[in-house]
Amino acid sequence: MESEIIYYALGVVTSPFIGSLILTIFAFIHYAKTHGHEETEENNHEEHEEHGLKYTPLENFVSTIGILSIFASWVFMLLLAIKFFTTEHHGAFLTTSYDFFGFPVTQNIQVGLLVDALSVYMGLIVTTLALLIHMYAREYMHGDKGYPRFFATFNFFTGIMLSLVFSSSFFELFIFWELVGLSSYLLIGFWIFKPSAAHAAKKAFLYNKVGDVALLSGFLILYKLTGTLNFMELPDKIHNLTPLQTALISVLIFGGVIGKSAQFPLYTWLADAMEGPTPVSAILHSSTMVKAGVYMVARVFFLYWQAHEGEYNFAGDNWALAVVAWVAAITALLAGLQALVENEIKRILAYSTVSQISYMVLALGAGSKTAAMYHLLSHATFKALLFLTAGAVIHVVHTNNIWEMGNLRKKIPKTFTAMLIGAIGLSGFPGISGFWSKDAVLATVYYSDVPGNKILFTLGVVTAFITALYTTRFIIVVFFREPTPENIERVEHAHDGGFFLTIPPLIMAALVILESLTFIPTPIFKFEEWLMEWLEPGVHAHEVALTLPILSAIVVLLGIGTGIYLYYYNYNILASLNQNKVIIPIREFIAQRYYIDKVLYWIANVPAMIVSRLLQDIDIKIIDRTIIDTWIVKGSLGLAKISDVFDQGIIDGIVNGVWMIALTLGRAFRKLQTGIVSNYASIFAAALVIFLGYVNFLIFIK
Amino acid sequence: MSEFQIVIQSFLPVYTLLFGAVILLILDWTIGKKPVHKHIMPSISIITLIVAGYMVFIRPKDPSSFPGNPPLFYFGEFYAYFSLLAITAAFVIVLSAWKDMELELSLGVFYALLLIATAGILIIAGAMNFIPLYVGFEVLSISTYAMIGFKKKSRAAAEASIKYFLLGALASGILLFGISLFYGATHSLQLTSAVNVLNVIGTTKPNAYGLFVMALLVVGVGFKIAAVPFHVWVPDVYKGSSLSVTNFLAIGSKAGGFAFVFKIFLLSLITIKSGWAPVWAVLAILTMIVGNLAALPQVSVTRILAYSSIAHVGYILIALVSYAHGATEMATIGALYHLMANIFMKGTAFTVVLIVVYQTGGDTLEHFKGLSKRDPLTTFFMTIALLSLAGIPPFAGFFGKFFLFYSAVLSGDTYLAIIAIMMSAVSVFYYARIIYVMYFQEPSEANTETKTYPRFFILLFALTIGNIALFFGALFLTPQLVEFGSKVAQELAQFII
Repeated sequence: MESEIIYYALGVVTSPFIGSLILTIFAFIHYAKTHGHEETEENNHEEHEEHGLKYTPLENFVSTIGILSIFASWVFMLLLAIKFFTTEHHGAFLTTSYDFFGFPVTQNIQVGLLVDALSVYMGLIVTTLALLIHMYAREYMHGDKGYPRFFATFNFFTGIMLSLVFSSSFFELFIFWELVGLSSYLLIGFWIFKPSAAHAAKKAFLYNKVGDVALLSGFLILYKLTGTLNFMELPDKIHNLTPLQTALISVLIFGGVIGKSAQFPLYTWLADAMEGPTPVSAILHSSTMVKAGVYMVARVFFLYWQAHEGEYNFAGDNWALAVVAWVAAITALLAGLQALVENEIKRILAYSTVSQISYMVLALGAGSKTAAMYHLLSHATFKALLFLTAGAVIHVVHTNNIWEMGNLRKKIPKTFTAMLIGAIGLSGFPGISGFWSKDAVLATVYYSDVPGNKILFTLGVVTAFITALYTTRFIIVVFFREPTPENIERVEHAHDGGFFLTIPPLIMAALVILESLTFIPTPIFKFEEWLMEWLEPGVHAHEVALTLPILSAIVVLLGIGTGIYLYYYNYNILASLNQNKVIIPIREFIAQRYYIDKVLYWIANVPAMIVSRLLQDIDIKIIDRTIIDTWIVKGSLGLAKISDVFDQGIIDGIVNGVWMIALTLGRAFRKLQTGIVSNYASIFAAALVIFLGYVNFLIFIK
Repeated sequence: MSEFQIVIQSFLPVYTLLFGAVILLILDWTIGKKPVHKHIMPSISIITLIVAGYMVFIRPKDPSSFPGNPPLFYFGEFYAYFSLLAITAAFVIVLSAWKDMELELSLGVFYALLLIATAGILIIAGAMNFIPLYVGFEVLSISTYAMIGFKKKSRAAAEASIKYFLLGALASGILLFGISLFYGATHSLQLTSAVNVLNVIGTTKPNAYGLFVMALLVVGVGFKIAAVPFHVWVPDVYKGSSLSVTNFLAIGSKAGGFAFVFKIFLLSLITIKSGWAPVWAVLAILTMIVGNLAALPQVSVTRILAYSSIAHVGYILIALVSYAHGATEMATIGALYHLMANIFMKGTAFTVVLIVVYQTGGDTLEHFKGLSKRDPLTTFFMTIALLSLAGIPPFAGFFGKFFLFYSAVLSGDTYLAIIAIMMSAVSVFYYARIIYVMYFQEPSEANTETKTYPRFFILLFALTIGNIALFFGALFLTPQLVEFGSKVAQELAQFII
């Protein structure tokens, strides 16, 4: 049985890579054939036609390979999940592992596949959404010059994420963690001719890198203290650490999450990452990159909370958890407010992602892996759905700005239906998937031991209100409000996209509804308890008072009501609010991203530059001029000269001397006394003489 | 299998190579003068090499079944590995000489000599007796002399050839003197017969007789592998001979020389290892320092590579010392791995020099200026080769050096590792200088040739892929590598009683 699991897991992980490999080779051949015509803004999409969607043979081939490989991975994943969840075994299967580097200094660094409830659950989400998004990308990227390159990178990205999910040690996870950064760089900067895309890719990469340094130092300390990086062995080794050590490690590891999962203060890159194609945004936000951080914390949950007789206790000092939870709660609020003032539809969704991920991190900080993964599932589905539909909207109206759209519900009914379902999910409308999972998070925080849990709970509720408000805002502005006169023509020509632009979102919409139905707690089946049984065996859930879901429902309905009132019925109030002298600076402050970027740039520029100038001075004045110029250069030049002199002068001199001796000894060598060869031979002779002298000396000593 | 069959089957690779050589000679005599048939010669050489390689793999399974008491040959893992090295090296030379020697009339003769030299290396790698060992050594040497002087009209080649021949003869004389002293002491020419004859009984210290044998053999083999102070011929000969022959000297002949050194010192004289270990340690230090420092002021890329070659000999000599001091496995892995890496990186570098000489007519740094603008692909391959030579990952040179230096650390000769690392740092300077010149300087007006040669491109591509693959092989298959190294080390050690 276990061997089957190995093969399934291997199939899941390798299928996307195989597809990617084929496509990479194909892309190279393709570019060689087309003599590597550079992609530019002008020639890109030049063959794009509004009507009569026709795929070229190239596109057919590439997208088929791309989708098929993900499909294979998905099938393997289903088989694996069925196999896994139908067995009674509740523990983890470390299916296979081998020593990565067979030297004594790097013992216990292993590479393998870890199959447990967490990785199977996550893998299921990743493969399902990746499959749908790949299908969507088939049409969305139609006409793009970089079609093969896109699918090659996209498959690679999916494969990397799956490998990360199935990593069995911190070392392996870190490799794929970095590769996720790399492939997201390639995808965000996919349109290489756009400077803004290049800038966004660079920004994402650098912001991530800052967090990665913390993560790296965190797990290196862990390795130093425990001697292992294996996820299976670590939980037992943790007990030997002092609370302070555990707290320090867990906060450093959380640093990696701040970068990768876009938490305060490193979250602004996520909005800029919208420069990539929409399928990229969809996969980045729904199930892969930004969820990697949440997944990692869930994976090393024992560093934060330790189960003890069915209750969770702090693994380290409690301030570590407070850092995690507070950062998350603050990020949730800030990003939610940000989403409220943004005008570009994808950016609204991006900030909404940041805010929702913070909910998951908050749940982790407050001590519930289940609530976090629960919210991860519902958020992944509806956020992927929202991005795909947003992409479809942008695709038909050719603008990003929601104020340039309007009244689209009649023009693109399928997209509208799908997006509405996604938005209802996001807003946390009572009874829909987002409501249940958000409720689980809020309940966790409410009953948690984290310092300041009541304030955190309040922040969470406020964010829920804001979430409902901005969701209502963009739905109304895009689909219900009459378009402004200058945009009427643009909206008139809108029509639903082709098969692949509409079907994957509709499938996702169906998934959201299905999830909503599954999540409804009934006496027979409670999804949350089922999940908890698998993810956190032996831990008891709190009895949640009925007031919490009611409060949450009221807040959400209030938010939606406010949104409809403000943006649909009484737009004048909003206009006068926008003119208000108190509101304007606040609005500006939020729109400028709380000046976080400016502050970060300032930090990167001013103090870092001062230090680097100082170091540069030291480098130039002391190291370069003094040490290198005078000592090392002169020294090595001197040595080289000495060696030259040695070679030519001393050796040749000895040679000549020996030669003189040899000359006096006999005439045997004389015939060689032509040209340089004789010198060389003399050197041999000299060396032999020296050796024999040495030998004689040794014998004499004896 | 009868004894006769075992002998025949064991010698099949050598026979194949010699048979190929004879075919080439006959073809050269009959149809070689017509330019249309030029491509036949390299093709036959390649086929011969592939068949010979295959024959190595299907050799008799049990090497100790070779007849004779004591047997003259032992065709085990050591033999297989060095045969593979020799055949790979010969393969590189065939492809690089294809163009290089095209203008010569008797192309078949050149390839025949190459195959014979390869056969010589195979004989060295299999020999268990001084007679076949020496015969193999001379087969290798004499065919190399002829190859160096092959361009009859070139004065430089003739001079290099005669220089190498004279010095080689001298070294052979010294070597033979050592071997005859060995025979005098042991009354046997079997490599493994020196038990309790050359050493002070009960220790690994050499007695007076052992010291003389040791000194003579060190000088004799020191010449072949070009250890300082026996290196003086290297720059002249490398510069003088045509570049594909230089390439062979740097990769093929070097592998043969080291097979010879390992056979003598790790098998025959292992009983007096505490005698020669310090000698080789001193020679290794001298070789590393002189090789690296002397490369600094050179302007001819061939000479830089020649000195770098000397420096790399120094690194490999570390393996001898650490082997003697107990780190047998790691030393074996290091030496074997580095010799393979050497083929990929030196092969690439010399082939690129060859291309540049074809394009511009010279091999100084001046001619390499702005190569990236004229021929970016070649520049790219050269850069990888140079980075690999400098020991920068992800290229094979990194692990070559790493294993060697690590073996020194394991055996307690940390000072060797420290000197080697310092000298590696020095070496980066002259490698980086070539890269700098290629990428950041404008090509001089006279050098605007952009002609590329597809055959070379295939060769360079294959070598570079091999280089990177070797690195990742070491990274991901470390346990297998260690296993193989210990297998070879055990094979060497099983003869020591």
